[in-house]
Amino acid sequence: MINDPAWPSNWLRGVLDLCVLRIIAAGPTYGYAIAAALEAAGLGAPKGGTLYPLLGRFERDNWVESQWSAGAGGPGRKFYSLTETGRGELASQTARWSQFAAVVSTCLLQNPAAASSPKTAAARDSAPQTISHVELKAQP
Amino acid sequence: MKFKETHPGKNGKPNTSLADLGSLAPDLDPAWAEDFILALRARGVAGAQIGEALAEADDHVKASGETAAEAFGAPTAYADSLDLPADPGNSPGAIMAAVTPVLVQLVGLNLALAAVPALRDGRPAHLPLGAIASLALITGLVLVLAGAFKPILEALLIRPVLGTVAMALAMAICLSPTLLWSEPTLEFPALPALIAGLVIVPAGSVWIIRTLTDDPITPPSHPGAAAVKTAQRRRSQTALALLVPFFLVALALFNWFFAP
Repeated sequence: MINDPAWPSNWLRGVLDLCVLRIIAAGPTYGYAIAAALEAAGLGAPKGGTLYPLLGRFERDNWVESQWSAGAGGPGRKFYSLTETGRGELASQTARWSQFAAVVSTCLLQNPAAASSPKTAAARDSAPQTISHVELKAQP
Repeated sequence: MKFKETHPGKNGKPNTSLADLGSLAPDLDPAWAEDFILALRARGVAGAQIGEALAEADDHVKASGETAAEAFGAPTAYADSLDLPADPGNSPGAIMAAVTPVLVQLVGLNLALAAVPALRDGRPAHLPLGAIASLALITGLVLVLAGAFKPILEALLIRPVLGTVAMALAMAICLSPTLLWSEPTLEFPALPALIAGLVIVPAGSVWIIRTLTDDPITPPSHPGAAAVKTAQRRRSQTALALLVPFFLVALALFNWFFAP
C-alpha cells in the first residue's frame, strides 16, 4: 500500500500502473527511485511489496525491459526502461485516464440529477470533449 | 556453500543460511531472506531468478533504510505476489528423474548386501520380506514427494516442527518392515546377485553424475563468481555420488565378517 494517508489507497491502486509507467518513460530508473519519484509527485511512496510485483508484471507484459548494473560491494541494481509496447500502453492509458477523470469530475461537480439523466449520459458518451473544460476543484 | 555460513540474526542469535547471503543480499535480514528463498524454491522458481529477486529487495532496503519486513511484508506473501514462473527443471517429472538413479542404487545395495553372507556360507541369498516392503514404501514416498514437492515444502515452511515430525514418522514407517519382518522370502543365487549389485551401484553413481543439474542462487551482476560456485558444488555432488560404491564395499566387508 502507499504510505501517504492523504489519498485513499483504492484510488491510488487505480492510478499506480499509469504513474509508474510515466516515471519510467523519463529514462531508465530503478525501484527505489520510482518510489521516491511517486512520493515527490505527491502520491506517497509505495511499499516495495506493492511496487516490485507491479514491475514484474510490466516486464512479463513486455511494457518494460530491465538491465542489471554491477554494484560496488553489493549485488547490483536493476534498471527498468520502457519498451515500444510500454510507450503505446502509456499513451493509450493516459488518454483514457484523462477522459475518465473528466467524467468523474462532471459526475461530482454537476447537478447530480442532471448528471444521472439519460440525456446527460448520452452527451457524455458521444462527446467527451464537451466536459473537458470542467475544472477539478476537489482537493486531497 | 550451502548450510555452512552463519549470520547474526536481528536478535543477536546466529541464523544458519540457506545460501551465501553475504554476497547475495548483505542488507536483508537473514531470517527474512531465508524464508523468502524457501518460499520461492517451494514455487519451483529457478535459482538465477531467486538471486535477482533477492538482489532487488536488498537494493531497496539499502536505499530506503527500511527493514525487509517493513518494505515487503511477510516473505512468503511477497514471494507469492511476485508471481515468478516455475522452472521446468523443478517439475515433478524432473525431480523424479533425479531420484530414480538413487532408488536403483538402493535396489543394488540390497541385492549385493544380501548376497555377501550367502556367498560366504555357500547358500542361496535371501532377501527378507521386510526389506522388499521397505524398498516399496521408500519408492512410494519418493513418488509422493516428487509429485507434491511444492505443497510439502510449503507445509514444512509453515509448520516446521510438525513437518519434521511427519517426515521422521514417514521414514520410520518406511524402515519398520525391515526391522519387523526378517524372515527370508525371496531366494536367489548369491553370485549373480552380488555381481548385479556391484554393477548396478557404480552404474547408478555414473547415472547420477551424468544427469547432475545444479540450480544455484546467483547474484545477477557477478556471473563469474556464480560459475566458480557451480563448479565447486558439482565437484562436491560428484564426490558424494562416487562415495556410494565405496560405502557398498565397506558394508559388504562388514557383512562378510559380522552378518549372521
